[in-house]
Amino acid sequence: MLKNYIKIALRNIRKNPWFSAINIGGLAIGITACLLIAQYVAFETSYDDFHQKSNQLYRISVDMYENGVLQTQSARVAPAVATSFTDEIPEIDKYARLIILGPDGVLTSGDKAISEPDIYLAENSFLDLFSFPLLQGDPAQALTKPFTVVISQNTANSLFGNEDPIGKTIVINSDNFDGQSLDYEVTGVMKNIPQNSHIQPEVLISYSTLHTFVGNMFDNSWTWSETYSYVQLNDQADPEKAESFFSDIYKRSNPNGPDWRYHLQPVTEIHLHSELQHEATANGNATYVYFMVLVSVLILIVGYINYTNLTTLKAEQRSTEIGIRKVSGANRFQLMVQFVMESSIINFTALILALSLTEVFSPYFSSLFGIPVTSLTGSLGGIWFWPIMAGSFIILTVLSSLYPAYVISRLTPSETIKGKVTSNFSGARLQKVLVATQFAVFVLLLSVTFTISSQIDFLKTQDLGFNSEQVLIVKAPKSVLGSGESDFTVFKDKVSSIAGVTGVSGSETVPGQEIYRFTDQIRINQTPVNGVFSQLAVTPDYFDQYGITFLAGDSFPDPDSQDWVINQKAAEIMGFETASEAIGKEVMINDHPHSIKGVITNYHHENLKNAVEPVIFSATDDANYFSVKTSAADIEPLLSSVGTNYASLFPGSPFEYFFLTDFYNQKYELEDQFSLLFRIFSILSIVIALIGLLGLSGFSIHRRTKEIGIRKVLGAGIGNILLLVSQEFMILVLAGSAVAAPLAWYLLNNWLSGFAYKTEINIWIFGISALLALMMALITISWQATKAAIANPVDSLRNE
Amino acid sequence: MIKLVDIDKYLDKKFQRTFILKGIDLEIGQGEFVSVMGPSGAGKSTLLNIIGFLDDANSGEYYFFDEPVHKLNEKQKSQYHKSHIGFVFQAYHLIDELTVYENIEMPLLYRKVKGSERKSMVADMLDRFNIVAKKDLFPHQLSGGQQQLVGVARALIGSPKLILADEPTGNLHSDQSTEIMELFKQLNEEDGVTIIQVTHSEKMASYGNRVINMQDGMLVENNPYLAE
Repeated sequence: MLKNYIKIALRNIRKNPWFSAINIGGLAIGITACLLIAQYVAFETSYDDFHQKSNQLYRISVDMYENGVLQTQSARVAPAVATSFTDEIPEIDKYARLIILGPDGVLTSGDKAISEPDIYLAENSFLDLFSFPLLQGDPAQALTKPFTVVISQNTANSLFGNEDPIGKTIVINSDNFDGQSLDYEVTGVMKNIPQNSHIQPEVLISYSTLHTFVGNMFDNSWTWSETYSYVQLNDQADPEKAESFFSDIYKRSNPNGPDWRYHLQPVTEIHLHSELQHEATANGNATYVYFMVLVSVLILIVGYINYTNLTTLKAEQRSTEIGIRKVSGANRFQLMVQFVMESSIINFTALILALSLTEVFSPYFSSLFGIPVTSLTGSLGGIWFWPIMAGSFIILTVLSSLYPAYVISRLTPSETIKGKVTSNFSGARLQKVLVATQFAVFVLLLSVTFTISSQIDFLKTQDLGFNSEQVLIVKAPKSVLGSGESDFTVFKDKVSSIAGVTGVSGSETVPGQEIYRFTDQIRINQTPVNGVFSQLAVTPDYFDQYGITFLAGDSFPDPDSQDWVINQKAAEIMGFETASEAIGKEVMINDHPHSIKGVITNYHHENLKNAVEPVIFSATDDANYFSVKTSAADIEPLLSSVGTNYASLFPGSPFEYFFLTDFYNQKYELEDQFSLLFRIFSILSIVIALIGLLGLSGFSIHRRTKEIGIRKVLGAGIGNILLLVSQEFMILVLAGSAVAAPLAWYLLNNWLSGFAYKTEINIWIFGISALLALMMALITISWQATKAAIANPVDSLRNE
Repeated sequence: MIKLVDIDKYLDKKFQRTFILKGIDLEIGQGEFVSVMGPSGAGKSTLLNIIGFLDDANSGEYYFFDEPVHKLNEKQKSQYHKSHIGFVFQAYHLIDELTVYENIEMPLLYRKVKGSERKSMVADMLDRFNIVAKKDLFPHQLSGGQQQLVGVARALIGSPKLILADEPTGNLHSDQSTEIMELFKQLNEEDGVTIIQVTHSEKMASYGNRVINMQDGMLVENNPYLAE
């Protein structure tokens, strides 16, 4: 019996190659898309779950309030927080504090020098809490003594090649250690940090090293919010209970302290659910993951709608066969089994095809989206992969074939044998609903794709308040103490004379970077100002070079000036009615007076995802980044002469540079990536839907061949016929759009709410999407309809 | 063998009930070869379908070997159906995707006959109808008469007590028709199979031993063609 079913199924597949190709191809593309997206989702949700105790690990974050209003949420807290909490709260077992050395340090060993941004100071317990295994060295002691470091395999390779790094000396030079070049002993080599870790340390310096710079008092500070503080709860602890102690402990130690509220963030949720200031690395976004899950479900639905519709229609043509089988003694159950069997063969073929396609496309996909893919089974579910695939296969097969099977087997044999069923087929209504659903998906995905693109466009083309064109950013060299002039001054003097250079300025961070210093200790006339201000040190010509407009006053007279420049937002928070009112006013920070020299417009320093913060600029000539403004059309010769000068000025420092426009737009990498992902898979699902429509309209027109023939005999033109067969699809497009528009609007609103600056959702987007859907549908249908319309009616009528 | 008592079959439309069969009383004994005649729309096929368990009457009683069919459930009907009845159609109704051999074998599959037994039964049938050479061909590779032979073979494979044939020769040339009718006659006389056929042709009807005339859903005495 089984053999008979399989045989007839295979013959049916072979007999209708187009039908089978549409069915199998549509499903295969759908499943492939699903598997690829599943890899993306699996990766994004896998962050930090490789730690043995990942479900006991939490990071302490702080919400800073002023007068009950949330000002800032920071991923970093003061050093005393972790120790006090661990001492007093029984739920907390251990802690580990981490400080990012930032912005950059230069590592030197012998004649090799590399610049490394991911240098952290870490307590030895860090190696205990987190599962970053050491390949060499003793994890219990590696980070206990001052001036010891644990380095990653990568770093070890680039500094020492094949030599054994243990016991070797690395010279680390960083501004944050007063610019000194100091020797560190390598006490451990750790396995490279997995990509799905929210912290990516390449070098860990022992935390105790810090004490030789800032003293032990640093650890008692409740205000110096510099440490990433991780705690490990005991295995039965309720994090909410642990959190409930926080405010008491904080208030007891800081009776007059600011209104700061501490929280625990599960480490595994940081990547997707944490959007705080001062994150260690750029995090992902849960919304994007949800969107992609939605897309994958929609693709699968579209694929299976095709399958169900076409199979049900196909079954009409097979009604005679079904009748004969019934007459030959088949009962309803046996017929259903037969159809489920056929569908399982088609599903199985599609699945095998999809698995192969996924294997083929995974490398492209992973390189396009920076997702490491080891193997299909490895990245998806491990040993559970095959059981999950088998389970989904069975569920999808049964679900997709039940309806056609039900419709088919329900028909009475006397009807089916006469072929009567075609005219008043019972599945017609459901089919319409399914096709309308496809159009709804179509319109939904189109309108979302359009809006995402227009938002990203908006972000990239928005007036930023400064001029980022033609700016080359050079990283400052490792600091050299003792020479009279600053590195910046030396660099500026040399580089300004190069032809094509129109200006050189320096700053602590450049636009596109987060301003990482901040203060809430501002007073005016002894009255505290309620607000958290970002602080940025720049050279006096910074504003001029970036074309930033002064609303009042002007820039610092010299790099040693104690004056401040503030942005408009800061002036408002400080309580100045107009910009000019602020000029010359005295503002205190930690009891040091500063006079306001100028007020600038709010320019977008970080990016347009976040609102402009109040910023206080102070003068310096000790910059981390040198901005070189050029007018040169050809950048290459300029670049090489800047590089030569740099090398001669700062021997031993790697020449590192980037272009500001690229860098700034890189900040939208996550959005770009999401947009591309979404676009690719939207187009895929639209293509699948159109393929299905092609098949469906073919059937629908075939069914009406006689009607079309009669109408033609009675004088209908080709136009009339096209209109006739398109009509029903037009109604379905409209119905689908009506469902899709509010849904798309809701989703987009949700997504856009994550941006401080956003484009409006244009109502026309839905109209245009619907129109596009209609047009594509018409083009698809007309291909079949034209064939029917121009056919000689004599042929179609002779059949009867 | 077959006893119909006051069988009605009708379609209900909004304000009107259209009778397809009305007040049919009919008895057919085992071993009869009955031809049902009458104009198009007289209800011949419907009657055949009801006798063959393919359709249900709206009212009336139907006894098949004294078993009240109108009281049987689906499963019992299906049981009778499989073991007692074979169908032959005007349009042959072979399954296009199956070979001659497989078409004939199909009813056995639903009867859960074992593989080896099935093989010999099909072989017998192929032999008997002289179509052994054609067993691996598909229906569209056969002539109409050959297709109908396969159709008859398929109806006979389950050794039914009753064969219902709805215009079995309607699509055939006269030579082929004669061949099929001779076959029926032989089955009836030698194997004692009861046959009920619907036909428009006097000639075909003459192969049988009884003629039932129908008009407008009712049994009538005389051949309505002759009466006109």
